[in-house]
Amino acid sequence: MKMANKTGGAVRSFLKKFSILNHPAIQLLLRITIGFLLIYFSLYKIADPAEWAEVIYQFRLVPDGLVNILAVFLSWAELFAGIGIMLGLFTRASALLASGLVLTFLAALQINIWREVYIYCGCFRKQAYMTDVNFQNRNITFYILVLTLLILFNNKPRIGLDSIISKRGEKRSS
Amino acid sequence: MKILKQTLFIAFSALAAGIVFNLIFGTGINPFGSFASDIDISKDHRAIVNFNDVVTAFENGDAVFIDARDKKDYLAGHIPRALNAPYFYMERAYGLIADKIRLSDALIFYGSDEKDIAPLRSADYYQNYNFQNVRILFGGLAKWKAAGLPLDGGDENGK
Repeated sequence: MKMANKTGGAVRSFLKKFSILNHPAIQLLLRITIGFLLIYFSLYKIADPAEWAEVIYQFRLVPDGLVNILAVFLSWAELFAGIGIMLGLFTRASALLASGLVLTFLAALQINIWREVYIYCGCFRKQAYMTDVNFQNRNITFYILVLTLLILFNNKPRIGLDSIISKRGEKRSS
Repeated sequence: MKILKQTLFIAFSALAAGIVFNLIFGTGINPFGSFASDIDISKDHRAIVNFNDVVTAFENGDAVFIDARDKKDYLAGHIPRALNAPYFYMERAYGLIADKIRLSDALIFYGSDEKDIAPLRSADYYQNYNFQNVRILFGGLAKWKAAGLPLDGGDENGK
């Protein structure tokens, strides 16, 4: 909890310093980019869950009995988070979920980089054979995490379904 | 707190949608089952389905056998003279056996049984390194044992 507060504080002060990042148009652009990436990553996993399960299996971090259910959950959670971020529906919750997913993937990649485990797949290319790909994936994943945190810790009003829904709610109550 | 509830709601919805989708459309995995590859290795063009070909290659010394299983499995028993290149530590393992094989060598990869995908992925990897004569022993060590052929329990260099 302390760590999350610290991270939140650091991201918020960063957002204060570079207030341009809080601009609704910039935030919208960020959301469309991250949302698109998440949806794109999730679709091939949903289309071929067996291959995605094999990737999780190769990470050797969960027992075989949990691999399939995790494969199903991760791909669909990625899709839902991507859609939520893109449309601005439950935006912060979607960004929190996406941050959790990205952070988990980052940790798994880093552990396997340390263990020098060879993994036959990456997010961007279906067949990747080199450990270098792990490094590449880790770096790209880190940038995605930073961008997702910028969405998560932005408290300013947004362009999206959340603001439309809350405006309607306010109108009804008044 | 509200954000956590919303996050949990999205996560559970995603899980439910995923389970329903996989159960209805039968996309290849059972969400509640254990991981087991559904790849049929016998259909791979590199698979040696005729076991006699494997035995001939072994007896004539025409091929280098490579055990793609973990080191502890290898040490417990492997095809005589086979090198160990554990699939999960492929890059490190390749570094260890690289000076013992040549690009022109015929390589036969094997795993534990016909469901083991380690030799299949290992074969992909070595082909990527320009080894052209790469085959897979369909059935793995289980088939070798079933045929009553000898096993070695030597070190990882096959000595």
